[in-house]
Amino acid sequence: MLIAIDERDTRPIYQQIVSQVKEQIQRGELQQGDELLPVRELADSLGINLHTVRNAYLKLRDQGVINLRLGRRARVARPRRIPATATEADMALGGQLRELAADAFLLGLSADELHALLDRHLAHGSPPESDSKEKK
Amino acid sequence: MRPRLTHPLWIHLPAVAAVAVLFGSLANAGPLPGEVPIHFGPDGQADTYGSPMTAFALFAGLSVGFLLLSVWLDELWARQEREKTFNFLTLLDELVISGLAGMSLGYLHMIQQGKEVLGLPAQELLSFTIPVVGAAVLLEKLRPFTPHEEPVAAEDTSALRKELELRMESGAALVYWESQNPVYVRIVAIAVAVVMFAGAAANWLVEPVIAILEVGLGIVMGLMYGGFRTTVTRDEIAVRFGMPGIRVLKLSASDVVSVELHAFRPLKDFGGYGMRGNREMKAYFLRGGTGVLLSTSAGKKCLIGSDHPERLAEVIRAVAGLGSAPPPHEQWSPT
Repeated sequence: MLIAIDERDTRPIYQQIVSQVKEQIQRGELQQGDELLPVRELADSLGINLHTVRNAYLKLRDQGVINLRLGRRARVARPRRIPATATEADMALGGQLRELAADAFLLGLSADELHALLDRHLAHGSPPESDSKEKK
Repeated sequence: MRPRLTHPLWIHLPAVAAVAVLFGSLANAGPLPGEVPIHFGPDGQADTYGSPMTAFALFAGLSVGFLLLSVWLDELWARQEREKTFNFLTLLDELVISGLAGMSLGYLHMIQQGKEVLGLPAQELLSFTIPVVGAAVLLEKLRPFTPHEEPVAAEDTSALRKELELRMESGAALVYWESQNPVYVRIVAIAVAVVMFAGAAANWLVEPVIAILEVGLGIVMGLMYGGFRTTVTRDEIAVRFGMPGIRVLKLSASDVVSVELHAFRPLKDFGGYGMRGNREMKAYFLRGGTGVLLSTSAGKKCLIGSDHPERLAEVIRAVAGLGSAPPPHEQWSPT
């Protein structure tokens, strides 16, 4: 799998790692049981702080994306079999969706255009920077 | 559905015949004494006594084990074959089982004569090994070649290529990795480590030096758990091994002058799996028969086994500044 840290990205580094792991799971490039790099090795390879990587892995563990146990390598967790209920989905995604809707409004996108954009990303997974660059 | 074997099972018949002949001799041997020597000291003198069936049960167990091991190895060989080549590994079960059968027949004659000293039963050994191994060589020569086509679907790396172009252009720090950590390596690592630690516990007070060696070997085997991990950053390509990630290969990205997809036959080309080498290249793989062959400016060639060779090659080409991949049909280098 590929992880890249872009200094021009305004998101915190740990968030970039979290997003890329999730996107690669969505695209099928990372599957259940696949190993992530050990914390120290990933930090050394990217030239970032050890605690930043640990923070990203803890976030992924808390979200049920990876299994993280002491003395074992981090591995991609089994995807949930039962979809989240409407309440659970709203709790998990509501805040981000409200912010997304607001951003779309500020960019001048209509609801249909936002739906079309979402559909495209759901179908193919998101290409990393191309769309954000186009927006800029 | 039962998996279909690529190699014919009749090539194992000589080994089966050796077992049958030995047990036929045993059946015709008549009554045996109730208690016979079952263990011998370094000088060949008996030091433990027990039922005469103990040694023959051990022979039967070892024969079945070697026969199954040989079926597995011959099947691996046949699946990697692209043209008929003599499989020297097929002689493994015949050599071992006929040797054991010869020893067992010698032992049978010894206990029938009431002797208590174990010598080398040369006559019995030769009477088993020569016809059995000879028949095995003949059957291996007669074995037909059966093409075994693994479904190979070339991975579409266009999205990865696009992502890499953007990342390289933006100057982002990046790391790509993949691992080969098959179940058999984990089982062998744990099983050998457990056996070594158990042996060390048993030997601790009797043979402390051997116990320490066993602990050392147990730790080394335990560390094997983890397999190979390949990482590619902007600066280097590295292969690490085992749980602690011991680096066994490090290449500077700028030293890499060519990147090719390479199909190989692990048993024939390298004699097995793991860290291997032949006259042309060094290789690092634990499964499969595909990888990425790197050539450096110093003329060194390294083969990195990969489950996603197209992806790995794409990333290495990007960090080495070698441009994009050639058309798919030109990417695979011949073996």
